Amino acid sequence: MYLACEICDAALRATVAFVEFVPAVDQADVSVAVSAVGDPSGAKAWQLVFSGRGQFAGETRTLTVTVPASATVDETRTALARTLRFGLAEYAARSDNSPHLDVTFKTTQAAGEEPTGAAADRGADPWNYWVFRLGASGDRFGEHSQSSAYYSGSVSANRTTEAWKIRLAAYKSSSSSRYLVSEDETFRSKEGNWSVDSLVVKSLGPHWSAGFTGAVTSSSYSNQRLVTSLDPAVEFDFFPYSQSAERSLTLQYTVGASRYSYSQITLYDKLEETMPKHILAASLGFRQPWGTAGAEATFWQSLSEPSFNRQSLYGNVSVRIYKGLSVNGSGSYSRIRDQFYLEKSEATEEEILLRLRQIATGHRFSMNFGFTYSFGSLSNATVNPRFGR
Amino acid sequence: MTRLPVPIVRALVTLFLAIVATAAHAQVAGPPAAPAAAQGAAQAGPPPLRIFLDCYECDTEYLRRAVTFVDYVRDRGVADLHVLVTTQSTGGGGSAWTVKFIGLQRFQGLDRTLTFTTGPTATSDERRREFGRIFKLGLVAYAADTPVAPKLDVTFRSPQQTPGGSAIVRDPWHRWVFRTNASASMSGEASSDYGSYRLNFSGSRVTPDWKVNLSAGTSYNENTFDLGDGEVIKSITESSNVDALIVKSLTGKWSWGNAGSISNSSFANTARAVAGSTGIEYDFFPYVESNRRSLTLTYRVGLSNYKYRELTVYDKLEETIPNHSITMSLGLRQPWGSVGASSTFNQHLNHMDRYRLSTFGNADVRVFKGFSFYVYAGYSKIKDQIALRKGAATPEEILLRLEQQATNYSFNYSFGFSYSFGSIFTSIVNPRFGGVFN
Repeated sequence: MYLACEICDAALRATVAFVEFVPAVDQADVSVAVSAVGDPSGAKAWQLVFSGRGQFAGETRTLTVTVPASATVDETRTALARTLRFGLAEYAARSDNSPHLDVTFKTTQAAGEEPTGAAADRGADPWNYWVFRLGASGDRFGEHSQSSAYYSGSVSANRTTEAWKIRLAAYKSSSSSRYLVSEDETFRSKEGNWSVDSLVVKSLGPHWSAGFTGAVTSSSYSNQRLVTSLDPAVEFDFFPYSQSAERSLTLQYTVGASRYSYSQITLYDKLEETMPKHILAASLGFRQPWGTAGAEATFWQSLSEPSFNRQSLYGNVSVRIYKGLSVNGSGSYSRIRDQFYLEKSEATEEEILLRLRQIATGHRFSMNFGFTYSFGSLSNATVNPRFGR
Repeated sequence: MTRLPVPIVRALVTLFLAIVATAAHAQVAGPPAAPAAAQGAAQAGPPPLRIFLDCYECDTEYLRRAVTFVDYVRDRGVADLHVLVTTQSTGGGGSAWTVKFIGLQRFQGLDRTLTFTTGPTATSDERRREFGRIFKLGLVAYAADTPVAPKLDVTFRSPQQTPGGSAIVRDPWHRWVFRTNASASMSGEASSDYGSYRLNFSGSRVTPDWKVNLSAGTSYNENTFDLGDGEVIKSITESSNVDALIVKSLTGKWSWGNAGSISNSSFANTARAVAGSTGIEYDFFPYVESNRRSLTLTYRVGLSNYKYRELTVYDKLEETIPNHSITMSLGLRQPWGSVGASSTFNQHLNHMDRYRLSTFGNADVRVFKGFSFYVYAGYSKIKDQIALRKGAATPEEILLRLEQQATNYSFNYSFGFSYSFGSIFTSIVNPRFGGVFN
């Protein structure tokens, strides 16, 4: 780097250790011209003009730094050096020194508090943090002997602040399929569901939150024509919520009730019923340099008929064991004693094979396991897009 | 939509009113922490840098927590800086990231591009940290005149202090990379079970002049259904393949490629298919721009030999087919969105009337502030189904899609739109009750 600056002394240059100063401009990748500019308020101001050369040709940027008139020589040097580092960072990020560079930001945040960064400095928000979204999508596939279609639409209104989280959403989807089973026989299926959901959560300090979900839903797969639920809950995170991108361990307890109305008469000869319930859920999540891991355990129980209950366990892990060897796995198991909503009549062969209807079961499990081992020239950074792949 | 009974409507209205009341209260309680901090920073100077981060691969929640000296907004139209991130795979099996900083408004014309790579076994935490570091180095000059500047600094740990510094090592593997992957997936309940098992091995060597990709894999899927009354249906599909691709770079725009494969598939009625082809590809843009734009034309000619599991509709158990194909393919990733299109014509040279013409296109475009849409459409005209098994399929084989069925066309399309309005700021992360709603 070539620096054209009258007031820049050796002490200032020493604070920019990630560049090499050269004596002539034609040996430089970047040249910096520093000049004093007048400021009407009496403050001292400098303009730094960064000009890229060679591989950085055409990349110029001008930064200004202002210090109060009362600043000492040392304070002036510190401010000037910092601005010099700001301007040089984008060039140095493309040099051999790139891996050793970083940017630090001193926030005034106390331990366990939500971070306050640039967002705290912005002006008023006329929408007061409300964000609205409309979406729709469709998907179709077809050939001579089979076809399928899926459509969905949604509307949502969200408001997220550190103190409150509000999610309101409405969703509707439908799917259909057609199979030409033989020359003169066609099987058609149709499924649909819709929901209106809400979630309101109040933050109660760095570890506690309280809120509720309210929902009206409908699902043909589960024989549920209309289900209305209101579920207040409290949640505790053993780690501060502000660390949730790295780790969280939450315990949540819900007491609520649902009103069910069924499409077809159920196994228990009901067409509608009201069911109070409670739910206890514990959930653990880690995203660390060695990998990610998560686990969840849920206990669901009817309060009017305690024999209707469900226990579920879920876990997943993705870890690099050592250089080149990664393993990932996930598994879930549910003990199911809560299918009080199932349709009484027998399912047809097509309903079973195409999974159009929920079938009675006492358990449900799933497991995935995989590993990948790579060796060889792993640091080869060549990109070669020819002939795809 | 089903008509709602009166008591439920009443409950809904009550619920809605409760929500509105809570929301109104929330508005009064308002944005926390902001007023106190804002007073301290109320001096002159432009407002915080507004970033529109355009990145599929990024952990945005992590970034909003780890890089807090800028403000994140939902739309390009209100941003000071558009950060467009693309990735491509590297010869070592990792990712090459291109981070393009596109200046908007007061930074109009001030664009910068930074690149870095992450290794094939980097964990998601390592990838997001490295992205965060490069992202900050690129942002810092743009943020130099914002109120946060006095709290910012660029730090340098000299190479001696960094463990495992950048010592240049000789590559004993001569750029070869090998990978093996195995996975198993199972699920089940009282009346049905599913299992899927896969094994893959690959070796590749990628240099700017040559690309060699070798791979072998096998997969097995099993479905069991208990229909009641002792009737059980069990279905199995399985396939294996060995593939090789060797590409020589001829110039900045021309390449020569050779492909070979041996495969078998229960779905396709093949006991063994051996195919070889040679071809030439031309990119109208230089290949080095492929992360942003490419338009390629490829011509191949080859020979395939098939051995079938069961007699085909043409009464064959084995045959050899000479064939050729031509493909035109377009890919664009630009600040306004991305577009791709491809069309392939494949023809048998011994029966010119046996051919397949496949075309697909997709677009994901930001049309105006807050409004974006995507569309995907594909259509194939199919006149080359020589491998179909003779005889009718059972209803179960059809419903469970166990084997290829006769057809002279196939289409697939999807579309969607999204329109957002309201607050432009997306900097706040609130993970509470995350598991409930998701």
